Amino acid sequence: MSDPLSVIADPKLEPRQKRAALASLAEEGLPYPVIGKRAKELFAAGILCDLNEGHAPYRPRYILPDYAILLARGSNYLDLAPPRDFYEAVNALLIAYEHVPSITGYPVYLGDVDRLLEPFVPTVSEAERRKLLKLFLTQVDRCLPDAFVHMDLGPEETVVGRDIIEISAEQKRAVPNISLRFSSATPQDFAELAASAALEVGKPYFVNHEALSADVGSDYAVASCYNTLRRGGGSLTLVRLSLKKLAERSMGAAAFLERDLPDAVAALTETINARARFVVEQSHFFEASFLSREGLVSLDKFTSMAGVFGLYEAVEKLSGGARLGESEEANELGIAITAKARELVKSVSGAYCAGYGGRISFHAQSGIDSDVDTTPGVRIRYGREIGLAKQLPLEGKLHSFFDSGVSEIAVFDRTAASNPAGLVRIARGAMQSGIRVFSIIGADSDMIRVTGYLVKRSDVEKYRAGVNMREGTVALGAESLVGGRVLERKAVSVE
Amino acid sequence: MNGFHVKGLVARVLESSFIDGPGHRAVVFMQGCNMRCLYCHNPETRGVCDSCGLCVDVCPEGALSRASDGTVAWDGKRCVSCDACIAACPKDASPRAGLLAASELVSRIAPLEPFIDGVTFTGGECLLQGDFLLEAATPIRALRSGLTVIADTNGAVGAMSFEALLAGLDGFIFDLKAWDEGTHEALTGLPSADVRRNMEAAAAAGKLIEVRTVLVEGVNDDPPSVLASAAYLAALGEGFPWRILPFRTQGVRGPYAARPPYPRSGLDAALALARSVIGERARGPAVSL
Repeated sequence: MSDPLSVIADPKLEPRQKRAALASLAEEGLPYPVIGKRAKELFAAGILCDLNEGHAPYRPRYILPDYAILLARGSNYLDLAPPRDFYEAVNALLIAYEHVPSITGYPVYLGDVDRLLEPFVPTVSEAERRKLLKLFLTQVDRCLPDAFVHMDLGPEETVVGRDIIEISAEQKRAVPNISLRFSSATPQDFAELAASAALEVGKPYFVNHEALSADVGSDYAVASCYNTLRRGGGSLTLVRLSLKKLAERSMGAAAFLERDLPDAVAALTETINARARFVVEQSHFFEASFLSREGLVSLDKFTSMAGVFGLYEAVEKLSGGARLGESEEANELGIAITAKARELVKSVSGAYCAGYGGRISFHAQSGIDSDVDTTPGVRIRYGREIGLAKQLPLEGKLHSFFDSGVSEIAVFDRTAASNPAGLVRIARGAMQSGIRVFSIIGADSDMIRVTGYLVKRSDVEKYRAGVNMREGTVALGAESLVGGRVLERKAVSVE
Repeated sequence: MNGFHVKGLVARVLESSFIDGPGHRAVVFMQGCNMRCLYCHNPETRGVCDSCGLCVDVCPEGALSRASDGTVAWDGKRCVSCDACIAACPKDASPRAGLLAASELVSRIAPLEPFIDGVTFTGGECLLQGDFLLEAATPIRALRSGLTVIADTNGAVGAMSFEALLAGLDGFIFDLKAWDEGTHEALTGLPSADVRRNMEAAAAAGKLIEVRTVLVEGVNDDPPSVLASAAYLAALGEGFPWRILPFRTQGVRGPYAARPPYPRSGLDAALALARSVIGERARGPAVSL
């Protein structure tokens, strides 16, 4: 979109979508935060990319409010008293969500909804509670129509958590994205319920509670695609580096590790810090927002995110054709690149990154709709899977370098449906192997996990037929399915 | 241990199965069977290679050759699984089967350990190589507490053999191939006395995990047989389901290859009959076909 009138005249966009596009145009009319010549060159070459965050960011990219504070204290700004029963608690959350910004315009974190609502369970009957949760989930789907809207559950079993998983499996909707913190504290039958739901509707994710509590802290939460950040904090910005494109210009593995990667990460972190300073110092978000004033977020829990992706292709290029997962040499190079990139990111002081010890966090970025033939994050290329018992340990090693989000997807054929205990075993094995966020999904599910969010095949077909869809992520998904070869992910081979 | 080690003739190892016992399991297919079921859907696991070499000439990829000791050697890197060797074998064997020491099998299972609930031996008829199973079971279970080793068996082995296996393995999946004795012999080539006795012993020990019956139209699916089987299994105990499966043509050789697949309506009728006796323990295929 290049001019306001073409946005306004677009017959495929709803007014709200037009408003967002017009706001982007206004932002693009402003100068970019000041960055050096090298960073500009790398942006022009497509090696660096800010995922269309805009020239003048006026809110953090990801915000993870601590809704427990809202429920405990109420809100002056929203004129809400602390809720006294399940009805009021659900109402308070739904009101708050409307006031939580993010890069998408929708909240990317709905809270640990099981723990938030569980204290109110005794205030209503079972039938009322189920009805309220159905309406709650329906309102989230209709009013926050974006698959990056993310809810967290677990690790313990709760009445509300069980309800939400059961209702989500019945409703079969892409929104919200759901994560289950998974640990030895998660009961087997609750985990089996989650595994059955995941096979059917792609959610919840199984999240490595023990590893992430150690990586990020006990207040970690999962937001947007699979981004692990601190509750009450978030990420000011995300800028990513295409390892594939950088490798294409490199003289070889040694030059890549010693010269190209340090050069590119320097430009990456410079850009991240410039954008983070703009959010905090120029946009005055933390002074303007009630979330900050009322203590739901606090700048000292924030960080920024440096993303990398396309490791698979970088390794292939730099090793002269060796493939990640298929040779020891390739695996070692993949680990060396990832370790080096992390070390470089962590060597720089991060502006307003107090939530991560003053450092920018490291993220395995999953790709966007315009990426073609570039494997998300540090995954094995779709269609070149090497079997769970080899792939999960390798990916687990790679996952250990990332502290703000990395994930792995396993697709299962329909024989798994009769055996949720078997899926839970695999999920436990994945956690033991170091996998941080694990997505289980059925090969014949209507739901597809596109990089990190869910879309329905049937919605993508409608979008392609020209139907105006409520969810913006359907359009993103429709493009990614082609460019990202998402449908080539092989099911775990079972005979 | 007396230091004597037996090798197992293994057709192949499958790393991932959701339908061969509790949880997610590795499956070891043992080569060689004592039954000749007319509906067998992996007949290439029934016989044992005698190194006749007929397969060497038909392999289009050069993956088979004569080793210096006269046996047939298989090169897994060249093999494209076209199955030309299996089609040419007059012994219902496969040149891909190989002798493995228990320790070699365990080292193939070990990397799978975090992701499996156990190992299922099948075949062929795995209990014919009972000494190998017993030798492998202990180190497999030692990989992780809770890992189980079970056998998917036709049950037709002698009482002495089965007693040792019953003590040494964690569970059994049995086939009840036909109720009528004449039908059982005609369908499998063996009487059912050993099968029933061993199944009863497994049930009494609390180690009977599942019983399976493949229905063949007009052969073993008459209502009296279904009812009698259900009553027999109900009397055996409560801890296991009876899985009733429809005959399928996949892999079948001989006269049964030309049979049509078992009709859905017949399966539903048999399930209804069985459920009238043992309720929801009567189940259809794990995967609806």
